[in-house]
Amino acid sequence: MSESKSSKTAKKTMDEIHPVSRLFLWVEKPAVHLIFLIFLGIASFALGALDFLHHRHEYVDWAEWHGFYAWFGFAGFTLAVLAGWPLRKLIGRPEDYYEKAAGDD
Amino acid sequence: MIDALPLLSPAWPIILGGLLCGLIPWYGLRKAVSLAMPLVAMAFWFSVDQPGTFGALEVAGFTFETFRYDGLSRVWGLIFIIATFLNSIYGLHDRDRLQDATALIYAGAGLGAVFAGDLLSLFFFWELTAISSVFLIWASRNPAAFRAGLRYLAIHVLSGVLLLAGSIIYATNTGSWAFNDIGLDAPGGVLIFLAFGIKCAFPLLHNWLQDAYPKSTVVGAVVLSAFTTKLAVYALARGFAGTEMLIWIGAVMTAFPVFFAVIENDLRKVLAYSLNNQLGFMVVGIGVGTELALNGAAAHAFVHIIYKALLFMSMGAVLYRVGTVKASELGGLFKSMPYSAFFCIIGAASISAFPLMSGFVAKSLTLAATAQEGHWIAWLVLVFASAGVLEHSGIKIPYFAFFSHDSGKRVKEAPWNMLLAMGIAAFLCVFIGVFPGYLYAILPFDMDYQPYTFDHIVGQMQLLIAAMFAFSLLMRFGLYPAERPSVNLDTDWLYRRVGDGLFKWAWAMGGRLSASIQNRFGVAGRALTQRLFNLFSPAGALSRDVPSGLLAIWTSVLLGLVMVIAYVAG
Repeated sequence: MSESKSSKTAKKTMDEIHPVSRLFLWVEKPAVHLIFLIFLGIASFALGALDFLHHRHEYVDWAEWHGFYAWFGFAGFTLAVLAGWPLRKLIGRPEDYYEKAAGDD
Repeated sequence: MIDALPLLSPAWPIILGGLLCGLIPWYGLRKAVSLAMPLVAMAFWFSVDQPGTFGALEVAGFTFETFRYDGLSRVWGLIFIIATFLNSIYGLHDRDRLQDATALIYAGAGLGAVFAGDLLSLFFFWELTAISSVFLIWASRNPAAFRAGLRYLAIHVLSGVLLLAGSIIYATNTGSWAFNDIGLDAPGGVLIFLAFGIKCAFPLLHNWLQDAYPKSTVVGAVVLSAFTTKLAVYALARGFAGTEMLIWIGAVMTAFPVFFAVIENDLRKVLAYSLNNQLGFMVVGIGVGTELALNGAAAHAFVHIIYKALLFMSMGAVLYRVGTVKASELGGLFKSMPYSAFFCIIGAASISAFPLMSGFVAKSLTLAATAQEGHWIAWLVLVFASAGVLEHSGIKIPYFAFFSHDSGKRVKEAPWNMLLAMGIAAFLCVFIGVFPGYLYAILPFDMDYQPYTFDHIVGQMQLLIAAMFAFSLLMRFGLYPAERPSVNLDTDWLYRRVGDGLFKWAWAMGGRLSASIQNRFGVAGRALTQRLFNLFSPAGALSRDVPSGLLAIWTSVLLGLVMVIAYVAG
């Protein structure tokens, strides 16, 4: 009895999902996330390693360092995200911050 | 070319369409007009095959040059017309007559300003963009949008007044009203530069953008994203190309929004910060000022209008269906809106400058020109900002809206017209990315540039893939700041909180002064303060019959008119 009830619920849940989207539900699986992470890691190193096989010509000398863009992209992105923690403490306010002051928002 | 058409500015049919929309009560006819007029404007654009100045209007002894067609105005004109057409498709479901009218008038005003050959014509259309676009914010019809609209209007009217004042000083000293290269050293040049800077959302002058755009309607935000700031970029390219200060201003513009966008919860506000970042690239290109750099700014403006509109459209679709674009309340929407999610990802990939996408073939021009001229610090900032773009527009927007944790919200896919507009925009993003020659052919200067070199592709892919790897790692280890309901302080705090506080203090002091006068001078003092109150208070004679928003508009219109008449008469 409860089995058929749960299968009905599962069917209802599936019915609510757009038919096209049902083909892509795998993107939610944790294993896929892990595989994606590993793939990105390998791809980053592989793209950086290409510089050892082929010399990149750049207008700025030190951009020709092996894997320059990979290192810079990784570091820049990480800096931008991690800076969000102190920045939020500094400038983050409750959602009704202006509303309290001026009847706004 | 279409020889039968008169050589008129493409702005006129669109403005006329806007005026007609204001008068037509029938929804179907109004929408037909809003679709037809951009096509007429396109025909006008195609009717010119040689650079020149057309459409001169003689008024009170002054010649208004309303249609200057050259390499610079041509590319901006074309993308403004395309954007107007896309916006009309996107807004087909919307039955707001005022919005239909003002969206077209605003777009036409933007076109008019781009094709203006003299400073007075520029001023006229400059003001018209401000006055017409504020209705797209007010169209949300809530108190927050109304207040934000007033702030927006005040700032843009200030920009117009600075432009007019600078233009008068410039023309008086040089004897010419022509809108060409001005430069900071020219008389009135600094005022004009500031006017352009306000509209271009220079750092510290930028916050009107994040304040107002996210409070606009679903359609309004898409329309707003296309014209005002890119008009300012055009004006800078026309008047201040090669001004070195712009390199540093632009570099700051690309970098600082990256940090704000990380912690912003409202995804349309994230896009507004992203707009700042993108404008920075164009401003740097104008500051560098070489032919390659100016081509970069023009190409970037062209592709940016399309992919930024696409991103605003996708978030508009989310807002339309879900009722919110707060990241903390979204997630998993790809299960309900797969097509919107797909188009959003195309826009995100384009703005991030993945190879085969439009951003790749445009942004590389500016980066190459900046490096070529030896501005390596600015170049480094631009490379950092490129990783930042990927963070806020490339990943954050699609990820937190359509993927991330499933919010459980199950809604309908966006209406067909929204999907059609998004589909065309997405197609253009890919088409320009794959066939950049078509875009390069309409840029202001001839150039021989090949974006698809092995070095360029490898370098860009290193940057993007490593940044995506960083995102995945940060998410996995819980180091990415979680999305949560909050508001972040920016420069608008100065006038919304400090300015407001000062006003309240001054009001309280005024009350005390008034009481003191009454105590000291008795009956005569009381009569005087009562009369003043009756006249100027919020319930007084001067503000009894008209809403303050309308009053603000007429004030700005009259201010502009009085200054023009005073000059012409004098």
